Amino acid sequence: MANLKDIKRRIGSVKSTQKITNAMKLVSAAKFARANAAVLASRPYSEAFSGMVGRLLATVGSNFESGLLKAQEEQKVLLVILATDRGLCGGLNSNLFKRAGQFIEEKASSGVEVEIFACGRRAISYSKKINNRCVEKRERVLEKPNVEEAQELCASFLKDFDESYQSVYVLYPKFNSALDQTAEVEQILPMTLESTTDDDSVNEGDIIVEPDFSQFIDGLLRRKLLGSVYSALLNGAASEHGARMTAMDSATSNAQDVIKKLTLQYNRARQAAITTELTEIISGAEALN
Amino acid sequence: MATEFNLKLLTPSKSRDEVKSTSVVIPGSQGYMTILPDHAALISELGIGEMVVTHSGNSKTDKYFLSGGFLEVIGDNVFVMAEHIELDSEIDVSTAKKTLEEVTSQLSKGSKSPEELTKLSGQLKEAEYRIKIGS
Repeated sequence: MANLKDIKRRIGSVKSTQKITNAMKLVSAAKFARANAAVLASRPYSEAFSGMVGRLLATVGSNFESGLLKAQEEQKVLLVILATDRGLCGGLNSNLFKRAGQFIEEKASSGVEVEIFACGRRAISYSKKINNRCVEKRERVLEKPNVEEAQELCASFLKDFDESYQSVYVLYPKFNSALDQTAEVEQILPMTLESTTDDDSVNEGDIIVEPDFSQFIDGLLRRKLLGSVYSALLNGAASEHGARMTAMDSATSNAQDVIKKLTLQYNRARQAAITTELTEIISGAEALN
Repeated sequence: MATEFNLKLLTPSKSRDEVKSTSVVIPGSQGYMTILPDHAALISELGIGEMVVTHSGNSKTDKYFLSGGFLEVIGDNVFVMAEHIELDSEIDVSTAKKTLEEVTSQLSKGSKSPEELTKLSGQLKEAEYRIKIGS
């Protein structure tokens, strides 16, 4: 049995680990609340936007074209991975990378080459590990997602689309709840314009469209793209903090279990030491008689 | 006949509370327009400029800086979905002045590609309007 001092030291070390995990949990909880609020704040805009697109398509019919809608046969595609910079967030990153591996395999089996755009330090080290071509790296993408950052990312996706890549996909942790995030692959380019509303009240020509739709379709698509990239960033940030919060919560309660077990062991060892001492004293006294 | 409409001002990162309004002057991509109650259904692209909202009831007006996006009028609801919507008191004029200086100095230097020019002139226009509305 380990001696008393050793056990005491271990209890101390587990306690300080517990303090750290508990502090991280609290920090993540605060960040999570902020990220969650940002997700909620973006919802009215995206809902109104998709509603408008639906009605717009119903009124203009299907008579439009744009470079951003042009679907071609895939030869080379870009996979954007939105991962975190820091670890200690449970299985969030490993689930993402598992999904990335699946995606790359699927594409490889049909002869399509996949190049990686890594966002976040974890994604960068993953792309190094699998030796896939990583064409661009970004750090601290999910730290404070804002519209400007999403805009800048969109610009870099658009730059190579059509020339180098036939499609662009984004892999991000979709935020369902603090306990549940799923790795999701979304094709963001080429875009598809589909009427998303079941609103049958609008018929062709019912709405005045100004200026002519062909003049602003590119602008509309760019904004739609921005919306999906921004929402992926917000989802990523909320998922990261949610996952870290849950992971740190369970780490804290695990540490509590370990402390309980060690304390029991410590008390037993202490009792055993006392018993031995007592036996020694008594037998010593008896020997004197 | 309606005398007012519900105005929703939305940006990707923030949505303001819905207001009841009797008129809104808004910069379309082709020029300014005024939306009054009972307007026909309309979808329009927006430009950069000043938006003036008249509240129903007290006829108070609010001035906003607005940049890029779309306007949709459907029934009694008016949605303004823009990249930036800033109330005149919220505008950061000193930053806008700095941006204006930077952009002007960049424009005076060397030749630019058409894309750069469009981007810079957009920034210039945004900065000018921010200063005009904010100060």
